Amino acid sequence: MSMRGLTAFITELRNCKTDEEEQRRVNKELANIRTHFKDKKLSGYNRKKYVSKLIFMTLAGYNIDFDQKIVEDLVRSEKYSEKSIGYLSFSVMIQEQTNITKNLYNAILSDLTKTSEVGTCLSLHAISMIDKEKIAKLVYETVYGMVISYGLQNYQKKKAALCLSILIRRFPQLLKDKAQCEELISYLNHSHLINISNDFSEDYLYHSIPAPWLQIKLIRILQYLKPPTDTESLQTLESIIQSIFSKISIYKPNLQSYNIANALIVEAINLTIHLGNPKALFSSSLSILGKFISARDINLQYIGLDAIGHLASVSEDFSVFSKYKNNVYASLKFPDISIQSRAIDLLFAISTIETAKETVEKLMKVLRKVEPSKSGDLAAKIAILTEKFATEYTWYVDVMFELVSYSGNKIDSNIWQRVIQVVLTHEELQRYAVKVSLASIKPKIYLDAVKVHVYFIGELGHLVAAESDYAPLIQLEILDAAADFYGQPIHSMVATAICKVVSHFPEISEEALKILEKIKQSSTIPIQQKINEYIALIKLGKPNMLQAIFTNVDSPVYLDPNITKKLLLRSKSIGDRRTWVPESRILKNEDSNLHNHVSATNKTKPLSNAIKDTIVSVEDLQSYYNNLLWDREGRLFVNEDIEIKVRIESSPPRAKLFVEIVNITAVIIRQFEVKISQYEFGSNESDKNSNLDDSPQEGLQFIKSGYRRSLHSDLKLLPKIHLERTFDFVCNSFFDSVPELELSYLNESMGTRNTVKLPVPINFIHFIEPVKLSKEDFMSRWSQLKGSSYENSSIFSPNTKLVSEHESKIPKEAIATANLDQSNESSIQETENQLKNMSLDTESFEPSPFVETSKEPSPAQTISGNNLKKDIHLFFALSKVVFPSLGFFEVEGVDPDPESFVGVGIATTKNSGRFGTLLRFELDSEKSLAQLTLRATSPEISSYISKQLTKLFGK
Amino acid sequence: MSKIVLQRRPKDCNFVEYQGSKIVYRNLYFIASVSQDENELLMLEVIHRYVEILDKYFGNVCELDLIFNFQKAYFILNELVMSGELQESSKKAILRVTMQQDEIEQFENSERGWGELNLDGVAKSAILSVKEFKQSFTR
Repeated sequence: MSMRGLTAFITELRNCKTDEEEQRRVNKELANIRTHFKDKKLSGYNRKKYVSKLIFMTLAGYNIDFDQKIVEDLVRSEKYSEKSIGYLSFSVMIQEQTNITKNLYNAILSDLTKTSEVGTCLSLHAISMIDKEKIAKLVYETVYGMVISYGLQNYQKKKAALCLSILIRRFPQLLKDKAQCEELISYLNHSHLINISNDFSEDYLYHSIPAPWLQIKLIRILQYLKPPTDTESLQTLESIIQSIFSKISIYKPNLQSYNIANALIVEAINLTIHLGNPKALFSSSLSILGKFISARDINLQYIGLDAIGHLASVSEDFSVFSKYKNNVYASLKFPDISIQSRAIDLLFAISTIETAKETVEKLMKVLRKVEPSKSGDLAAKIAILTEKFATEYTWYVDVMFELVSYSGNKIDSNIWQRVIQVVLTHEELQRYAVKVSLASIKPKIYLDAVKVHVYFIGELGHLVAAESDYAPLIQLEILDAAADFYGQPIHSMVATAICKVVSHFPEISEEALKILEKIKQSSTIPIQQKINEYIALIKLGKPNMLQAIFTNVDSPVYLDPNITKKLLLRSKSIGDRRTWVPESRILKNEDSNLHNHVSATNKTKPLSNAIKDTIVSVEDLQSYYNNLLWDREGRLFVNEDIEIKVRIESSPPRAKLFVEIVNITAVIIRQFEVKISQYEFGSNESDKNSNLDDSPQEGLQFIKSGYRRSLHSDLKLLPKIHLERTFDFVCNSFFDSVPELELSYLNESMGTRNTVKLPVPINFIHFIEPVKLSKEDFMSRWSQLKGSSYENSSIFSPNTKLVSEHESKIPKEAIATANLDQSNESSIQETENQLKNMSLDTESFEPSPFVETSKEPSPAQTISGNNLKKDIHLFFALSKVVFPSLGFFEVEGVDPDPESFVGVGIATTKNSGRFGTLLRFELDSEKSLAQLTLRATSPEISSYISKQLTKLFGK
Repeated sequence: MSKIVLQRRPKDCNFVEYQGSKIVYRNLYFIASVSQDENELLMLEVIHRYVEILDKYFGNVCELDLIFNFQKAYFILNELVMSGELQESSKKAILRVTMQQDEIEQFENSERGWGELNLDGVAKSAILSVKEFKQSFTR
């Protein structure tokens, strides 16, 4: 049995007082063994003894090279005692990942077919450890033959069957065909392989629990099968699970049966999840796990936290978990790192918008105490939770800055990169962020944090410079202080930040130069060189150039979703399909490709990248567009996910379009992108080049210079939070077609990418401004533009619905007037007649221009209801409000008809000059007809505006 | 791996995550590295079963038994698990096979020539002859 030499050697090693002594003893023994191995006539016993010593040294942690020839000789030995040591050394070598020689493999394979039962068993064990397809192929038929043969002992057959299953699991391609499968399955019925009958032998009672390993294996197998669809099987399974649940014990009369009962419960919960969490089972699962996590047994707590995490990873509703929040918070405080990290993962998985703040606060506390190896992972989780659930921008900035300045350990650089990305791509955050940065420059904080602050001051300082507390000079002082506190490592950044501030505020150049000179004194040579160049640039005194150099001096910032993934890419094994990864949910959301499962055999499900284009024409949204013509502020589009409101500010020939996007769902919308699609913003490169404009210099042109792709793509829309983006346009010449406003986002529930294309709601009319013109001037121009080519006229019935839609816009007096009865109307008539006479008087030389317009509807005696009349009155009152908003100055006293509007506006284009536009609008309240006449210095303009206004006012 | 287990306090749970897998341990001598989805409690009981068998075999197993008879401990483990898969959970069956192996070894040892005689073998046959000797008296 034992070898005396080996025993003596082990005793000697154990008696060594120091590591050095032990090492010396090992070296001596190795030398001794080497000499003996040279002996060709080495006896089998000695071979076994020396190899045993080598194995022991390996187990004691020494790096030992085995002589594979000697090991092979042992394996080939006829004696079991020698053979078994040969195999033991082989298993050690396999674990140490030694390159095994062909001869040794051959020796092992030859044992497989030998008649010696022990040899075959040892060989089967060795084969089960070899992860090589070539070997597996070689032995497969033999092992398979052993399983189905009748001549072998059960003991040996059992090993062969297990070995075969290991091989097949490792290399499924080994299984040749279905027939072989069926043969194997039929063989499983043989009672000597699996014994599930009621009268199992006493040997398989484990602490009075029958065959627990078999039970759990069976529950596991059920998890690999599709859940049954027939209610009968489901009911059977549910009752089995419930009976397992009923055996819950949180006391330990017998530790073994207690552990097994709980192991079964955990497996039953896994099965419950696999069955899709039937309601009753789900709530029992949860209540059991609630008991687990509050149990005194620490192992049970661990299991409970892990399993709740597993439950949460497949749940949609997290509110059920919040009940256990406090238990989990308690576990967070445990000194045991295993418990703590389970609790962290669980909190991470079950956080909701409601609990995130509290959770982040608790996690921050843990972060300050956690051991260094875990802090990176935890910081990443905090960063993700904060970003995911931030509803207040100040909270996001506060937490992230605290995270960045957390100096206990070096935080993953991905985190501060992410902060910069997020802040630079969210305008709403910037003012607050830079204020915090300005207030955070203090001595003795973490250098990376200072760098972030200095960077923000340079990039964003100008946004708050108007406030006296953050005046440009104060910003300079703060940057100066940063250079003082942190010295050389930060000089370069401070210098650049100073230049950025100066580029916005040239008036502080003097002060900036002083500080730069000062910093230069203590800088390294390359930085001195850089500062010299900066100083020279500032001294040139060309603010425009400075701005050009220092605006976006860094490459554009993109909101890189990979960073989140990088943050999460930690210590997670690929694992089994049942393995839950706390991040899986987030990753799923982050990347639609991952989200759409490879296993989606269900073809009806849309593919992840399926693009759902919604091209919305103006017709569908005509009323919105009509309103925007004159109201210039309001809704542009709405669907079930988002609402788009816009505001148009024009100072012809330029116009600004403010697009406000609101996520009207209750979940976060990801990968939101908004762009003007007439232009392609492909790569980074073309973005830069686009400043050299080669796009047509006509029509409505989108000005790209202010456009930063990063600010417009891959955005995250939090529910109910408004996001505003601005687009600049210039009107080069008359236009009647516009670029498209393209919005796209990921619809996570459908797995589609939705794209909405809308015409930009900017109209040529937005470039018309009122121009003050005397009656006489107006008349002369009106006459000049007489003739079919400049004039465009249309008759339509007014859309009186506008009145109710815009009632609030109609002056109160007008409403009052409209309500007056007929008798009052006559007195108005008188006044009107007077006016008419007056106007005729002033036009003594020229006949009234409007006399010619014979198309004017004659006031026939159509009977119309008072209501309709009233509506027409109100309609007219509204039009008096609308025309000036459209850009027409009302020239009073031109038209004798009181219910008419005469106005003039001027359209300004950048390249083709200005266009006078004259307008007359008449209403016949009796016939309920309206006539609109336009005369402009360009025929296409008069016809276009006439068409647009007819759409606006007509039915 | 043993370093990590060494750092654990007695009150801590028996599971530690380590490089993408899980460590389930009973004490410093019984450490199993399992995949993330393994049932930890069940693994703990595999270890327990192993300890029960060792106990039976060595008779109240102690640290020294395992150190000086490491190969035997491995041979027994080979009857319990194969490549990480539980192979046989019956204590009786495992001990029976182990005893058979011991018999083969004893037989091989007794066959050995004097030149490479193992003293244990001598001692055992000596004890045997003493027993026979005593028996001859009692008869």
